[in-house]
Amino acid sequence: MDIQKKFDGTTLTVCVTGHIDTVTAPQLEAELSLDSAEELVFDISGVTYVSSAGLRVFLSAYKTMAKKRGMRIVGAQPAVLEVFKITGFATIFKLA
Amino acid sequence: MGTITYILLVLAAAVALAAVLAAVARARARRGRRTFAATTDGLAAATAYVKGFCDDSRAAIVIDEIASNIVRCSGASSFDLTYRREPPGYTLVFSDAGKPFNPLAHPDPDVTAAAEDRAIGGLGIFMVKQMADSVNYEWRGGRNVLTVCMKEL
Repeated sequence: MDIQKKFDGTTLTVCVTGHIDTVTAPQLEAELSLDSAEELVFDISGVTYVSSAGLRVFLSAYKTMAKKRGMRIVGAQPAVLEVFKITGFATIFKLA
Repeated sequence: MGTITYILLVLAAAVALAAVLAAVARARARRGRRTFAATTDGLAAATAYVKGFCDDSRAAIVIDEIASNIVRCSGASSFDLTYRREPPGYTLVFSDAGKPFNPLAHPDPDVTAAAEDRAIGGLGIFMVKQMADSVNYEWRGGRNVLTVCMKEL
């Protein structure tokens, strides 16, 4: 998994490449410093699959950002979108 | 004349040998079984192993969910993973000598709950059930045996 971060003073954009599973999810969680971010954008166009360990990271970030300007997930591939749909997260997360 | 016959015979033998080798390789690629440590490293190795047979991201998710359960809960030091190509799909069999645990016996999580009420517990096995054609648990010969049948997409 590769993680690239961009912060413009308001929005933190996190680009993830690879897969988010039991092995890599802790790395992603450790990279998320949300204190100064008003808004969080996950660009997951380079993510091939997400297991429940990855969903846990997204949900935890979502809850933190719900108190601010929120969280968006952009670029989900069909296989990843399917996981969001199966688990009901497609109706919770803002997906684009 | 003798030389040409000889060359033709050698060529025919080479073609036949190549066909036999290819058939053996195909038969091998249809099934495989290996033992992995019940650790995060073992889980990653199992994912890589099955990727050699089939490049379906759902297989990687199934392995992550089931093997992480084994790593966390079973108390076993290792688990066996079998891959079988069974057209039009494939089957993954997980087996471990840990304490008896039927992951299918747990109630499904509420996937319509609001974010604040969402728990991740139980979501992994739920995903496996949703993605698989069938999932079957057995306690057999002192081992947990979970068989997951997947249809090819």
